[in-house]
Amino acid sequence: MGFKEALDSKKFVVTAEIGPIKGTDIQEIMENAELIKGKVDAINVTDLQSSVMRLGSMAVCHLLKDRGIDPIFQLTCRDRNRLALQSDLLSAWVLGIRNVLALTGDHPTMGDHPQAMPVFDLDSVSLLRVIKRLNEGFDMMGNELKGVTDFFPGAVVNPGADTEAAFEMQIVKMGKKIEAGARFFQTQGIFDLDLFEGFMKRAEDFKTPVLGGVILLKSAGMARFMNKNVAGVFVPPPLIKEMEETKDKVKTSIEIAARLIRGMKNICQGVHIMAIGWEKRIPMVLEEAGL
Amino acid sequence: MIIFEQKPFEEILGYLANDRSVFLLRCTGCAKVNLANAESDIIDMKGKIEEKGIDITGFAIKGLLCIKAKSVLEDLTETIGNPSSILAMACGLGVQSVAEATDKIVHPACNSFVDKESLERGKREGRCRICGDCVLEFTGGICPLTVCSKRLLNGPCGGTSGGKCEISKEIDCGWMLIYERMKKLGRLEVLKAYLAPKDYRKIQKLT
Repeated sequence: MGFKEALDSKKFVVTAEIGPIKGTDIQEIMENAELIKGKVDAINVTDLQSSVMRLGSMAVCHLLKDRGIDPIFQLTCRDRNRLALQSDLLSAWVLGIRNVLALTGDHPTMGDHPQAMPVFDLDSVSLLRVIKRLNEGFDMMGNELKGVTDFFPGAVVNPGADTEAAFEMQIVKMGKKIEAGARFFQTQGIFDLDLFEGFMKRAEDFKTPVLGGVILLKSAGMARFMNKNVAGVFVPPPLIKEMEETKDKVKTSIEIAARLIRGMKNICQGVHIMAIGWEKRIPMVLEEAGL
Repeated sequence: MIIFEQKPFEEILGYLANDRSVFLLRCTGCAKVNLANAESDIIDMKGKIEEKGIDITGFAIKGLLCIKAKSVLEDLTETIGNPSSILAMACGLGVQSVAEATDKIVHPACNSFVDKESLERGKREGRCRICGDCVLEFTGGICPLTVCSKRLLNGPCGGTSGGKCEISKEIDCGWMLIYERMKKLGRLEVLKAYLAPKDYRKIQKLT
């Protein structure tokens, strides 16, 4: 069963994320992918996450597909203009990639090539419209395609936006993304289930599946770092304390993630696990969460 | 308003590698530039270049080279001599205008920036990208092309934090400004409108 079918089946869907490395040594990410294969419904492959130059999402998605894993191709507007975005989408399709996650992308100044030109010719909303158009058999200029895509497009939303304006704009943009063709959402990492429940109440009318983001906490330091530096992520102090006081960080991290996942079962349609290097531990998290 | 600061001297010296003699032309800028320094800057530059064995045929301090380069150079015909090149201590506009008004090699001595004050007050022409397809109707009179670091047309990215942009805590998130303005105007519904990608043929090269 592929990702789309899993969502259609109304089961509680699980996706995980892997981030390609800087370089060509794919051994470890492929091992990690094999470890979680069969335990997740799809694997997202990030597109130069944090604006750091790395191996590309399309190639890794293709490799996953070859190994019988349904990949979600993350595609940002940061590095490609509308010609390159459309061409990459066609390329991804012929390589067997069926799911696309349309994102704005971090600003280049956040990464390891801060001098780079920020492209942002399209934004996540117009990119979704382009995907819809390709699925209809046309490029964004209305030129007909010979051979058509049938992508399953998705988008992201940040339920933890920290001001009224930011939160309301997330809802507005989520609506625009659905109108533009988004069929599912994956969220930024969530640590406060009450807040997330509030967000989901607001998003209810959209009737579009949402996979809640789960980040594996590696340490109290990482939690504090994210609170300070990662927009939309807030780890409440009791969780930081739990990580601080534990003798077994891995065990506690898994327990926290599993607790969040169990909580999300009643709130949204699935989870998206961002292990950030701890991919090997995803099976334990899922087991602990009863999935 | 454009301000300029002198490039590192070593870089300027590299430009002059094949020149026997140079004429120095310093712009006093468009009021914002520190006039008091103009004379000391040019005397200092003259001394440093001469020290490297390159002749200075003369120098002049003039205002608004961007607009007046042609008449300035005409006035200087007598004093300019026959230098291998002109070193223009001016902003990018000034250097280009001087280069256009002479057949001589014109070297830029400065890097140009927009001053912070102008940026904040929004008095510069850069506040409008002259995109040829104005969307201010939908964004409360605040242009997303210039207030958003990513020029996003359909709402903020996920990088907003505390109302600030992900690239710097010093910069307001443009879309938060737009939201607040539209809220005040009672026009939040308008934010749901889809804004199509820009036609870059219409965006003038100058911007």
